[in-house]
Amino acid sequence: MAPDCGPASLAPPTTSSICYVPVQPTTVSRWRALLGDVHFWIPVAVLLAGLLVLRWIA
Amino acid sequence: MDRIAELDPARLRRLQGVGTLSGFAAGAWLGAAEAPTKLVTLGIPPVVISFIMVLGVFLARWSLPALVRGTAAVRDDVRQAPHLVIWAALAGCLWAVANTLTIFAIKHIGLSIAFPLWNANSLLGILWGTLLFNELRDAGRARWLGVLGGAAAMFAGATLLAVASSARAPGGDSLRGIAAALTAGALWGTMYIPYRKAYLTGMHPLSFVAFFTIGELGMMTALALSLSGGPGPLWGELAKSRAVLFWLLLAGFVWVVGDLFQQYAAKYVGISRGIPLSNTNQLWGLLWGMLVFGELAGGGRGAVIAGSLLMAAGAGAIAFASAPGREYRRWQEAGARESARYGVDASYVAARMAGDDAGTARARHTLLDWVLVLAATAVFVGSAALARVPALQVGWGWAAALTLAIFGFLFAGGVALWRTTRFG
Repeated sequence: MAPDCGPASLAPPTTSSICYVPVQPTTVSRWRALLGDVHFWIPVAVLLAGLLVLRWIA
Repeated sequence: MDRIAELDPARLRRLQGVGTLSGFAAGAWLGAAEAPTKLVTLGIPPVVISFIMVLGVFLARWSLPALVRGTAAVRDDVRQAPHLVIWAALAGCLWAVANTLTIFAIKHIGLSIAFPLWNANSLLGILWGTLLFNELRDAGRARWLGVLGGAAAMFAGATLLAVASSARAPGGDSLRGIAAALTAGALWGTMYIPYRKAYLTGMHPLSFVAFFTIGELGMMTALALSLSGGPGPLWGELAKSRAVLFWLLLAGFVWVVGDLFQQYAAKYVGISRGIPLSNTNQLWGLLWGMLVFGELAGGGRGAVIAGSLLMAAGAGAIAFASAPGREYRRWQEAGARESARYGVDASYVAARMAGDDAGTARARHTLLDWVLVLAATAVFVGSAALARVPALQVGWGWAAALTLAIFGFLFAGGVALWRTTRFG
């Protein structure tokens, strides 16, 4: 880890000056990033579908 | 993306090697987890069996990380990428629902049809890995063929093995059974999205599993309460099961060792290769059943040998189709995308992806770690004192040989992971 990497939190994050790739500063919170991530909704949708199938079967 | 640091090709080869070895070790340990459950005689509802196993899993998933890295290191990981706690718990929920569905699938259509259906999760894993995480991109035709052909061969082998190990034809509702098995496969295949997400964002496998199991136990408790008819009946079933509690907790513990290797496989070779490799657990489960518990004594060994050879050939094809440097670069791009989205330090993500973790090397243990380890040990010792060994014909020689084999994998995988990544 880079020596100046501070701890992260769910608050708006900061970026380090020592990076392997250019990181765009994020202006939204991590919660918003999570809820706006399409990848997140795929497992959520599959989980809900699984619960519905389970309810039907059981 | 032009500033992504090139990973040394020799380092990449070592990471791929350790990931592939972890996949095979995962298969061996996940398969061995079936052995203690075979000691449990009939009369216990399947949901209760699943619930007790998850209790064992929960104990192992908090005590092992506490022992190896310390809970302080887990806290450090969470500070870096707190959103992954939610991803991990979500993966745990997916696992619990899938596992419960498999119980109904076996009940309605039998293991021979159900097992290959939910084992199709590896094909879904290849799809998600390619679509969402740049896996197999720029890998070249030969590697595509190796992974897809290998997964298809393993699927065919799994079908043969499942047919051979089918003991009796079920008399259930086939539509519900097929729906349950396919849904379980979809849930298990999708569960690897959070796995890959975590490892592209730098989370340590031992931290990920600690939060995974919270979702797993929470969801399993809700399902067990719902399907058993409430807390009273569930408690009654648990109390009746105390003589076999140890065997099921042990199965959960063994399963966790396998799952840890599976996590490292997902991290270092990706989900498109990691899932099929750990699906060799079916082969190991069958070896335990056949050699130790005398299953298939009445015949069917030809199909077993053919299925085993197909599975081994498929796994071999995948093992040889390791990611080249240009594909790894696409993984790094996916990691950079995650670090930008969630604001995780990019150098932290890149270092963790390359297996660089100083956390374990300077592990510091607190009182909480020792309390967790002692509490888990006390539960295991207490349940062992109540346990009874069922009167079963067991091939002890084969049991010793297979135990030696899985410990061989544990030793080889553990040494390789320590030397290459310090369990990072």
